[in-house]
Amino acid sequence: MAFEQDLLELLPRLRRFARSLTRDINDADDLCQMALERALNKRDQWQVGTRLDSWMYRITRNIWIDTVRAAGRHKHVANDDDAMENIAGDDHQRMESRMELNDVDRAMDRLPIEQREAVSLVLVEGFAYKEAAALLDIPIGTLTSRLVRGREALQRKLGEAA
Amino acid sequence: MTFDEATIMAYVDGECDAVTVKRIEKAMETDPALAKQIEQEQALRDKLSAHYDPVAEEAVPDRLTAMLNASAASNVDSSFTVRKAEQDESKQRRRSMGIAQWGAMAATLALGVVVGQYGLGGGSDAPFAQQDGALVASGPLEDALETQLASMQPDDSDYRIGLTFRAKTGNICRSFTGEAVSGIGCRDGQQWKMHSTLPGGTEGDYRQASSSKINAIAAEMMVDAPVDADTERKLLETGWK
Repeated sequence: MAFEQDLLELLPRLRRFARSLTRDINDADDLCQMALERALNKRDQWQVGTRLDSWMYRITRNIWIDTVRAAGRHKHVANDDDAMENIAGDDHQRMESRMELNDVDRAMDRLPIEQREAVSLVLVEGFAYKEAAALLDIPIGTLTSRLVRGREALQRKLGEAA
Repeated sequence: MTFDEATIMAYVDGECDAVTVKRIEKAMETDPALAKQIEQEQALRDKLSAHYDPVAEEAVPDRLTAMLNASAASNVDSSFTVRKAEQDESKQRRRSMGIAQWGAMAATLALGVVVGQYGLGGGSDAPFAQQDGALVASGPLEDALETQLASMQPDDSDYRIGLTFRAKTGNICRSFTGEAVSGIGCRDGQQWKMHSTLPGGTEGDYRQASSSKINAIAAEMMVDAPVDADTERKLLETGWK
């Protein structure tokens, strides 16, 4: 059916998005699977004529947020560098024991979730500010300030090598 | 002229209006610090793309495509989110078994229950027989798997054929639902070996639950999409090879 076919074509991009949010291959594919499941169950809620990709990204992002909150990690720590380093440090250590992380994964992982999703949508997925802000239900000004802070943090971690 | 962080970022992201673009590009000519800053921002974008873009080139895992194919062919299996939540929960208490192991165990238990209940045999109506230690279809179930097309199901058949698909093992497998038993049989030589069986049931809800479980198991097993009606007919004619 056309709906499934459209989702199939979106899958490579969704996997990329999920990977930039979760950085772990299996977690990313679990996230995609849950997003597909929700999309198939709620297909009636998608309005024909609107962008399916934005709808799917929104579903994926919402499930990711739920998962992160349920796990009780990655609390909102924007503007609190000490707390961020602390929490990120724990997570960092946990991940290091499991797999070799690329420096980009590591730098993204240390971003607060609000900055990470903004960076991911705009810099990785190529959404326009307006589209990304609409997808996240935030004003454009909020999006751009998160982007500025997220970028600064990434430059601090990756800038020397870039 | 100086530009704030947000403006420089917007320039790199292609979000500036034409006038600002011109002003920035003119300023870059005489301001090496600005040029370097923009270069660094661009390098960051490039670095992220180089890292994440290959993900979109990877082959999509079977479990994701199988979900969409199974959904296109029938109903959606909504059990993964539930299973995932249960798994995450049990992970926190202790090291848990993987989904696949649970699935296999559940299928095995159901097989025992079903076979125990309906027996292996005797009468010509028994759905199963034992052959070289394996459980194979017999009687009316074997007939249904062997001859029945999903697109043309006889009214008087005890079984309804669901999905026909090629499993990762290379065998052709078919799902079926019946009053007493539902499951998946896979063609092996001249036999239909039982891969999974679940109690059937005449009650609507029960049958639906059973059918959705079977679809979930099928989605895990299949290589590609379930076959269409034409391919199903061809497979029947060529002996399900």
